[in-house]
Amino acid sequence: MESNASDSNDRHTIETLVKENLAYFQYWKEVQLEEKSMPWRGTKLRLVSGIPPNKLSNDDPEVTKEYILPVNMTQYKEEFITLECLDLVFENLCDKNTKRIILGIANSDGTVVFYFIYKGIHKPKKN
Amino acid sequence: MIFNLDDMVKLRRLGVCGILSGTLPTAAQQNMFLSIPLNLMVEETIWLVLNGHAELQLLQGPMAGQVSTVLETRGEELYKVAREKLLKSFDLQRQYKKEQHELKLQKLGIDPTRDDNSANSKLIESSLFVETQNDSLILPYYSQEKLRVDPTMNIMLLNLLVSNYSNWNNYLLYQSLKSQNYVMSPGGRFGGLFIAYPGDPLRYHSHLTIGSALDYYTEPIDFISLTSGARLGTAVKKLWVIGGVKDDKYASSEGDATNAILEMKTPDNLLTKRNNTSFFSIEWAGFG
Repeated sequence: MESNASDSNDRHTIETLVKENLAYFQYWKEVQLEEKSMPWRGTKLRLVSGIPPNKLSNDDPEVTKEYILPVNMTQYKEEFITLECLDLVFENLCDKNTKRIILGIANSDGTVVFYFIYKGIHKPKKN
Repeated sequence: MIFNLDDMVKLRRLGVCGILSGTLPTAAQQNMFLSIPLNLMVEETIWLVLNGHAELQLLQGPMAGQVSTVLETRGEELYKVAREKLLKSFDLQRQYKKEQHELKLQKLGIDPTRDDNSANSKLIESSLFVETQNDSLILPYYSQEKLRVDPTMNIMLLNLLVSNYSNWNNYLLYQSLKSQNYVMSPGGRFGGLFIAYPGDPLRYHSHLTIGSALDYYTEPIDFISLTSGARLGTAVKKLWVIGGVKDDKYASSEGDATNAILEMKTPDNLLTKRNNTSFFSIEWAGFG
């Protein structure tokens, strides 16, 4: 597949893809790459942040800045995100009181899917 | 497997629900109509043992063989006992039905002695029922002559149980959730290891689907299973939960692994390890 160029090590490509997807496809505002970075398995993890056009969950009191961790789907390869890695992301790249980040999973066809990751056990959102 | 109804009630109060599995061979039923016996998950069993609600026991040899020997040697005697019991129950039922019938007649103002009873008694005969016992009469006789199980043996048995049917990390996830007052049941229906209810399963919907324990340090999170678990979860209003145990380094670095495990998995160690689990709850973000 061509997209092998956007290898799991190629953080920059994934970060740009996720950023542009948010800005131009999901109409998020103030989308940017965060300054803070964290070394992990030979690369540097950085979060993308932005403000969604509307509340993402009915449980949120208001629209707030969200943090996204861009990763590659890599269907046939081993990704390198472990539980330890997620803990470290919460610890090093987020504020103390961050309850959730969003995992932005980039697929090989250029689409991105987004999943909330809450630290610990969380209750399902109200619909 | 639990055969005694009172025991089931006790377990339920402890938040251990198991799965009912009893049905009639000729008319197999779906889960709503199943009855005794109750099947426990391995994790539930271990939790019960570690928390002093149950003890492990070794039975001598395969039970089927034992039972057949008993049947050969004491078959006739047992038959007589069972037969007597049955006849006695028939007598009681007959008596009860007759009394009820007479009361009814009296209420209607008919003299009960005047009636010819032969037709009635025939009807009564055909309405007697045979009670099927929930638990065996023979088995308790075996658990009387139990082998002494000392603490080391106990740990060995626990390990045997776990290595055959589960693993310790899964148990630790179970224990951690249990200590947060969740009630677990098997999660195969939703693609996970457990599903967790915030209380009794009959009172609440389950909130969580828990995946099998991941190795905290080395196991990469599989995004395919993550997305499928979380998407299904969105459809059925559950969060997909992944978790692992933090001080797992023994297990992955072979060598003295078995020793380390034996050392680690003493009941006390296991009970205090409940804080070393790490969970993440995952849910579709609602877009993309």
